[in-house]
Amino acid sequence: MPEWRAEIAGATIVLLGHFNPKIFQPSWFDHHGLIRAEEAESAENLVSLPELTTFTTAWLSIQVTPDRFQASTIDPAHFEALRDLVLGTFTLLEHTPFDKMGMNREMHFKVLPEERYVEFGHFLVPKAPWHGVLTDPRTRSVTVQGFQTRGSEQVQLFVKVEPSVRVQFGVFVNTNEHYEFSGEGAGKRLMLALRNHWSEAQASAKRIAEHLLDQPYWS
Amino acid sequence: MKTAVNRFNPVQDPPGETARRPISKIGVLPQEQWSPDDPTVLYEVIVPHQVALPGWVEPSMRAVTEGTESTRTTSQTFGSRASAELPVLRAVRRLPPFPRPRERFMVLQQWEGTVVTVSGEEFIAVMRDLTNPSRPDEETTLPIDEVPESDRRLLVSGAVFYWSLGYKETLSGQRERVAALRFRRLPVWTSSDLRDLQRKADEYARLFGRSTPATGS
Amino acid sequence: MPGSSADLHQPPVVDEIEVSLFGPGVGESAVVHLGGGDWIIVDSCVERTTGRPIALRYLEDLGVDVAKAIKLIVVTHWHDDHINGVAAILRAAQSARIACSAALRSEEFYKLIAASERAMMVSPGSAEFSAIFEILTKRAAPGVRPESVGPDWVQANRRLWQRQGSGPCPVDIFSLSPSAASMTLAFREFAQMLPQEGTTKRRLIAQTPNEVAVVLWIEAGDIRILLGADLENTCNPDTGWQAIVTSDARPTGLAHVFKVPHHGSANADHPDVWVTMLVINPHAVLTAFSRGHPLPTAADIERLKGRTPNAYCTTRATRADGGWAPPRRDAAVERTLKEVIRTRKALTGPMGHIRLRARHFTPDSIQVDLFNGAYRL
Repeated sequence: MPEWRAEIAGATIVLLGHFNPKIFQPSWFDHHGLIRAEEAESAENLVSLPELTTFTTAWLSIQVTPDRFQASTIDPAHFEALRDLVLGTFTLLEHTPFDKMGMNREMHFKVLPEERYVEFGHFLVPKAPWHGVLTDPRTRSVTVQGFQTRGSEQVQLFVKVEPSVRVQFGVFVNTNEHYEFSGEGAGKRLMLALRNHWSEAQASAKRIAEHLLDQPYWS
Repeated sequence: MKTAVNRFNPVQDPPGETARRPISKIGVLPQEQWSPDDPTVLYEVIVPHQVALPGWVEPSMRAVTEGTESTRTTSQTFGSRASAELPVLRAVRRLPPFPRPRERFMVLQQWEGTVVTVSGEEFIAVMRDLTNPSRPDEETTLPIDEVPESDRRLLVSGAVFYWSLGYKETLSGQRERVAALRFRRLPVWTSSDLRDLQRKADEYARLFGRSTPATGS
Repeated sequence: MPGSSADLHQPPVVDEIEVSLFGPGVGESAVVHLGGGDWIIVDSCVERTTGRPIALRYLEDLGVDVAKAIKLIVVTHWHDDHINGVAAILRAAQSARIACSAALRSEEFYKLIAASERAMMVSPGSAEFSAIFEILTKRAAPGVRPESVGPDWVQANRRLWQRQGSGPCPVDIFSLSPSAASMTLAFREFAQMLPQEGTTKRRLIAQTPNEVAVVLWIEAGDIRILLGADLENTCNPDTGWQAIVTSDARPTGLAHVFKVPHHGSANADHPDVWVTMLVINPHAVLTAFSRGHPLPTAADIERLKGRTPNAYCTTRATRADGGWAPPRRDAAVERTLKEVIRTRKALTGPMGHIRLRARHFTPDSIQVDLFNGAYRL
């Protein structure tokens, strides 16, 4: 089996709840030691409104609206830093109400030769049912949901697979690991889940992609 | 459609939207910093609520346009309009998570290091292989120069860092080897943290008791 | 003397005592068969490839029913290299009691465990204790007294376990440490490690010599075993080995098997132990330690050889720096490593195994087998 290495990769943590976008300025993160002073000073694309704060640093993208907090990176060397940033932020802002969390991974894999790449699409979605109603049916997007065990919990996962628009003969795999708690302390429980399950979620995302790509649809 | 500036963006464009991507922007930047054709504006953000731009908006600011139509020329300039005349804008919730990245990173090897000792111009760390956890831990001596200046204050015994080795590739195709060292950054201990520690310790003590040296019981 | 691989999976017979010591370079675990299918485990380390405790793997390979056969698990101290995998053993060994140094039954230590979690910088030691506490709490029957929920808190000169009527021979297991004075010192050490407001979060690392390790004395039939953990000497006569040697409350007798403390280091060597607590030329077993200044040193080895001709070590490093060659990685990674780092060594090698067995619990019949790189000094 070839070793699959993502050509492009990204990670995003999304929280849904009630946020005050004005708080999340680069200087706030620097003040609490969550990013370097230089990163705060060189932050770009800063937008700061009561309804929206967004900025980027060399490795980080932050977007906050009143009902959504989103932190992303496309640098795999900073995936752990992303987790720490979110953990640190909501340790400090421990009374912020939020009750849903998504851990997302985006990966683009090159699949060669071209015939193998094409066969993969047919393997994911067999085309026999489409013959007779469509000419030249191709797979555009597949999303499957399921569960995995994290600790003692069952966690819901959504996996999307599409042809990559970035990598020639590339397969795009997006995994979303979804957590939801209700009641008091939901935010704290979500941060515990982030702390405890982040590494497993990252490993799982890669395993899922490799598992699909390694299926015996091609010889 | 794959464009050069979007080559490293890990997010896929939704089907058909690339051609209809709106060029509108949030109007908080003074005009001299951007223009409709400004290539440095890396992403479009559309406020997901009905908003009325406040009356103190600078005359040079532009409005957010509605929907996903291509609207290069439909943005409006607020001159001296009174606030009562400001249009109410509906919005579409779509926030692309990544700006157009200029580089991509291929991590070949990553370790989690724990600093054991710091001595002179070097420090010793125990390195756990994150790329292949079945490999043995390693004890490594690294020069302090590898630590970015702004992380030096974090370099103490017990501190944890990530060391990632790999390649960086730019949009121009230039590839270079990189070794990035970054210390874990978490908030300092707060009084609330310490109260939590006491609470947890009290819980353990209630369950398991406390020793006194004289009796051990 | 070296055992074959076929011998490795042969379980001891019912009236055969066994002491097996495992160590890969960092970490150690002792597995003791007390006869009659009763086993105890002292400390734990994991196999790198599987992440599982070697003690469990060994017993499962022997066909032992770990849920029933393991009677006692002893965690001699809280350092990472002695505790890795203990929670997994406790989970599997549903009939076992677990014993820890009473020095850990302190508010300061409880806070350190909580601090590791709160800091999100968990070290194996603190993670294992968190897990142990959780398992014990869940196992406790409703309404049971709080004092009965926790581990057996061990200090000097207490009986940990006993088998009298049933089984091929009587067995007594005693703890010889920690002393009360050691515990006081430990409480102070833990207090000094506690986080202060405004300081940065970091991983828990033991810095001072080990004075609170649990040293065990096992009597099974005619055989006596002294398991020295990592206990070191101090200048305080009420702590360390001095306190044990001079204690008049400890069991009398001379041990035939000695687990040499702290990897044979000079810090843990006490001549009176050899004179007053061990037979002449006992079987001495030890593990290596490859972090920092590797142990045993050449001088340690010479000293041990002078004490007994029957000294064995679980692992021998392949390099002069006390470690092993790190595995080769991607060529680009190797190039960068060569440019940047000053020194580098892998801390573990093969999981060496020293096995001592004696039929009918008679010291004269001790048989030594060495597996997977273990060697005679």
